Amino acid sequence: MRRKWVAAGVLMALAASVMAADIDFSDFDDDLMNSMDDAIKELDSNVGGQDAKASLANVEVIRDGLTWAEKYFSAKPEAPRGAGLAREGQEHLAVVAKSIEAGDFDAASNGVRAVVKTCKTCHEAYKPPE
Amino acid sequence: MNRITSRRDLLIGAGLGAGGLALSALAPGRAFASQATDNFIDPLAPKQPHFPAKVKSVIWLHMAGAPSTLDLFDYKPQLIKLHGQPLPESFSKGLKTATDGGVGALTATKRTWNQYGETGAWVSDLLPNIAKHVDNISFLKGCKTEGSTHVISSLKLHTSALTPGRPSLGAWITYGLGSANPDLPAFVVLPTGKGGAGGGNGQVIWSAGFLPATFQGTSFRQGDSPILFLDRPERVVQTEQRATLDLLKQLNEKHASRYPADTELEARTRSYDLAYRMQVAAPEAVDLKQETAATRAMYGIGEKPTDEYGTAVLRARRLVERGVRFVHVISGTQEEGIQSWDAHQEIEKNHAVMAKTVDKPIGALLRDLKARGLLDSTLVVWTSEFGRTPYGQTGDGRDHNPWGYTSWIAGGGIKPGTYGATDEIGLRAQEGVVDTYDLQATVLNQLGLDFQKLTFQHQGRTEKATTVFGDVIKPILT
Repeated sequence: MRRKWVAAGVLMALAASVMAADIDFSDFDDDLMNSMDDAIKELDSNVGGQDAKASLANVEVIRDGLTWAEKYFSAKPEAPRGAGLAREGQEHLAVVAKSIEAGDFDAASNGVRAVVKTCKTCHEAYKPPE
Repeated sequence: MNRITSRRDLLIGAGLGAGGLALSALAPGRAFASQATDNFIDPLAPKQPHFPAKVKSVIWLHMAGAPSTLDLFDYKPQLIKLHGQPLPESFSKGLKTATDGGVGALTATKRTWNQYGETGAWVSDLLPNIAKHVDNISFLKGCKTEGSTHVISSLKLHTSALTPGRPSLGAWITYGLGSANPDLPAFVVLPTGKGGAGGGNGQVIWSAGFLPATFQGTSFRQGDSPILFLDRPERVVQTEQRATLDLLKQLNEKHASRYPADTELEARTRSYDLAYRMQVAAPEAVDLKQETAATRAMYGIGEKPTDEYGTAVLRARRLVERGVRFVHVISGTQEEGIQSWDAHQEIEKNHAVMAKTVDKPIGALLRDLKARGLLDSTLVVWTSEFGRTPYGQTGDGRDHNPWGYTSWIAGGGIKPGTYGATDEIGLRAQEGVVDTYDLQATVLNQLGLDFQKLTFQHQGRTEKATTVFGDVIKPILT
């Protein structure tokens, strides 16, 4: 049975606006996406709370996920924007990490939103409706 | 320094002192736990914004049910040319189009259109009064959202969530800035129409969510007694009530003195006085007899189609004049067979009624605010949970469209004009895309609140009004 991609609430929303039924994503690691979804929310919270250690731990989870996603989409020519978006997300994430290390949490917060936008762009393009 | 006489005193003193040091007074939001007088922490004490505010108040005009902005503001000549043809795949690709019915043929607007003002904004013949004020309005023509049902998208519009439980924008603003008038609620909701409560969505769209309940919206009823159970009992005169409250206060204070760290006792004592003050302030704030006959007529009060909505909108003006931070006016009608803008069928009839209901009062509101110098300190937001599709449904209706629609903002710090656009047929936002998170971030920004820094700790997370999303729509700001 095909697994769900992310949390039910988000799916409910995007089901209305996305159609990617023609692409087979049955081999996609949905658990990883769930972990990334949690980690992004945690990262936003931890950056808001200026907790560098916890923020950097979240960054690692998201980086792993985006690295995996880049590889996955590189082997998926029917979803040509996926790999590029995953790379873009990693670039934004690198800025987030640098900003956290420099203690600039305002810049880190802006970076988190850039990562989130990249995720959202990819979801809008490829996340299949429930 | 006072000598500490008991272990209890020591613990109480240490706790209060540490609390006072730990929490910075007057910071947006945080002051709910730090604006102390004696031992009492007033959650609604006024707080300083993060940066100088452009406006003091917001009038949020919620067009419940989702109007077709293709028949109001978003003029699409190409849709007229393609009328009667099936929806081209080039437009619908990637969209799950059948949300609440089938996908009919493309349907041209039947309205007549004109450009108005120096900005040349397009407005249809359904809104002749709003059309007179386009030079004060920034039209956001690339709006988009998520969800395909009114409840879900209304929740997102107001709480940035797709399920109930998060605070509404008005609650965040009240949390961030406190109240500017201690005699009135800082966040007032004015539902209209037979459905009343949020186009059928209920109080979840003005809820405080996980914020303290004191920040939730207070729904006012029509009529002279706006708040339920606020009136003094019929056989109690004012002096008697005052004497009762004074005695109650004395007894409560005596009791509370034994528990100096218990702020709930203090809060309850103060709530009696607030209710007493509101018995006078709230009816006065909504008493339209204090307005001139010309003003009431301007809002359409006394005319059947506009009486109820005009009353609500004029009340909104009076409330912001009195320092209310956020007034959420929900559109509705008393017209038989029509509850909201939700026109899956008979859109011509529906929109004629709904437009007539809101156009004159909203035009009057903009004119009135400007004449009183209030438009510079108020933000007027016209929006809905989504728009409607360029393709038809059931022969003479339009379906829900979360992919592209128009909202508008007028008031302090807003640059008039048109920002963003939908595609050639008005199906999908294409340029200057504005999500509901961005709209919320912009409203907060105009109130002097940094949407990334207005936070609340909930279940171990630092929560924000717009969650992890949002951008201030800078191109529309002066």
